[in-house]
Amino acid sequence: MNISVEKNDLQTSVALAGDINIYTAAELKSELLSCVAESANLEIDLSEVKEFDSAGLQILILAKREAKRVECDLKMKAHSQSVLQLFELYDVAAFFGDPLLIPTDTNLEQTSDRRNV
Amino acid sequence: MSFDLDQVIQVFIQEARELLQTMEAALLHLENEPTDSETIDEVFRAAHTIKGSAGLFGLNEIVSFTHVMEDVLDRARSGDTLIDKKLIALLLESGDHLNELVTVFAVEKSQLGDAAIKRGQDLINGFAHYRPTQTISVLSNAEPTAPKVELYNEANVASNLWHISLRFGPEVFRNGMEPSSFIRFLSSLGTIIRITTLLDNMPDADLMDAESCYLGFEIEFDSTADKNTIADVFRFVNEDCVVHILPPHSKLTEYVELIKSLPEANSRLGEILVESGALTPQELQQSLDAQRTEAEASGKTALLGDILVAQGSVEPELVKAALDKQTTIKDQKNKENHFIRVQADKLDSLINLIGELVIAGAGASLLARNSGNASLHEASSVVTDLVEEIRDSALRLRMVPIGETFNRFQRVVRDVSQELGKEIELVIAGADTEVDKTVVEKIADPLMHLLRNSMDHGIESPARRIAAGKPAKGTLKLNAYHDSGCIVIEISDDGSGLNRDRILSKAIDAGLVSANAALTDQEIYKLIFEPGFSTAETVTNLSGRGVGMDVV
Repeated sequence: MNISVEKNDLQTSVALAGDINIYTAAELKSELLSCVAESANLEIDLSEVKEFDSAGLQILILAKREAKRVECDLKMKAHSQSVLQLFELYDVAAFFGDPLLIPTDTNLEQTSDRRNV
Repeated sequence: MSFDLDQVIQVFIQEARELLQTMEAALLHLENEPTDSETIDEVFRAAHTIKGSAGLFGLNEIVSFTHVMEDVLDRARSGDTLIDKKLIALLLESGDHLNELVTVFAVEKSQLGDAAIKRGQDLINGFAHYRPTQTISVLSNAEPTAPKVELYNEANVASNLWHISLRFGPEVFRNGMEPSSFIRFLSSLGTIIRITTLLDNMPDADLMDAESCYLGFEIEFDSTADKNTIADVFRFVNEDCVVHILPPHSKLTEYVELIKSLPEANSRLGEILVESGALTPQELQQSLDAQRTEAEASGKTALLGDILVAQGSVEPELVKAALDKQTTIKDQKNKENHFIRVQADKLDSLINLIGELVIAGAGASLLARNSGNASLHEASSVVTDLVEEIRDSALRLRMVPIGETFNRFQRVVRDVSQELGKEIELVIAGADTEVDKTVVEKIADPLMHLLRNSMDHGIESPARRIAAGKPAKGTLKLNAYHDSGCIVIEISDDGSGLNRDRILSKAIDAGLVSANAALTDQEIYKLIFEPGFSTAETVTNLSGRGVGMDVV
């Protein structure tokens, strides 16, 4: 997993890349929580996330919850395919409240085909 | 394929018959001790197993009938219904009816006759008295994919979806499991209509452990799979996950239990259930009210113990199924230690071969003796000894304890004595005496006639017995033992005995003996075994006191 943080006056941008799973959850947790604590505007880019599991999802939910508590505006964008799939399976999109780019059906099928292979 | 199925169905038929026998024996036992919970369990298990395996073969008539029985038995088991003589009689009749159902559907693969259908309906109506629900759904031509018969009453919720509650334990991730894979797998069994992901149990950021799982799910699930199949999805995670599965149209009380047993606040869960369509708002209100009254009644809110109990009772069917499985496996193990099922013709051919072996062996040993070769003679005599041992043990293979046959008569005695208005007890001795299987089958009928005779003509009515200074309850004794290579089966009763003069005069009338023949008592008594010496002519006094009718 790779976390790159960019800060400017207006907001903090975090780009997550690689696997977000049980192995990287602890690191992600401390990283994201400190970002939430330090900035009032946080944007997380999920476009390069490869593997995404329930442990990873828990961290994102924790970050969102924490952000609400400290009144930090946390947004997520450009959800990758694997993130979207888990969001859909768990039906948690509404919780995050971020606009999602719904992939066309063919894309979905292709990815699931690849999964099966 | 059809060959396989045939074989399997044979096993089913045999199993069903055995279970029905067990059930009958247990019911007879219950008649004396109506509160013996273990025996009630036994009857219940028998019915349950028959229902289960009949379901496998799509024998819906059997399933629906057994279901009714099972329902009543379940109530008896939980103490809601008391077992009385009438119920036992009803259950015994149901056992007979089931036996016929098995014969008709599994053996002959034909349809029920009108009389049998009517009897089944009568029995079900008889059971209705013992059941809480008035709506009885009897499957007649239902599609084979619906082996499950559910009874609906007004206390059930409207939702026609399964409701599945999952609370994954903290160790799930560390044990290498991924909750989403279970849910994906679940969706292969049907359609997830609605899923609510709960993270209410996730502690504050500081305390939250990134590698612990805090996930919980409430799922509305549309599927035709049965409960066990759905539960199997979560089998691998069972230790780390609290799973509650409520079938469509579950009882409202089950939802109450569910809400109570889950860690989240009641109102929150209630909202989730309403939102996801599992409960209507009215149903929720009703269940919360019920819970409140209950809490007020007990003076406190649910404690951990209550929760655990509730958790146990939320899935009575599953727990029961697991328990049943365990006990049947245990029973089977016990039985397996003692028995192997062998096809009768295999055994016959073995015994035939051994017969040939004995003859060939005798020929060989004769030749050996004639040859004058001492060592050959010695060797052949060892072979002869061994062959004899093999022969003996092969013949013993066919031996079965006679007790099983004897026990069958308990029912006969019970039925006949009720019919005659007499009180008769059957005492069995020597039940473990071993008799050749074919002999057992052949003597069963004559034995029954003797018993009937004894009961009809030998044992007097209670009033007469008391007048004669005997206990009101007559005793009928069945005894079997080995006696110098023979097997003696003895039937005796403490009735009024044989009337010598009467037999003699009847015999003379019938021309069996000449009028002036001098006969010993023994010879006279033997007359009753004469062919044509009809029992109808000697309506009274037919069997012997202390005489003992020996049938070998």
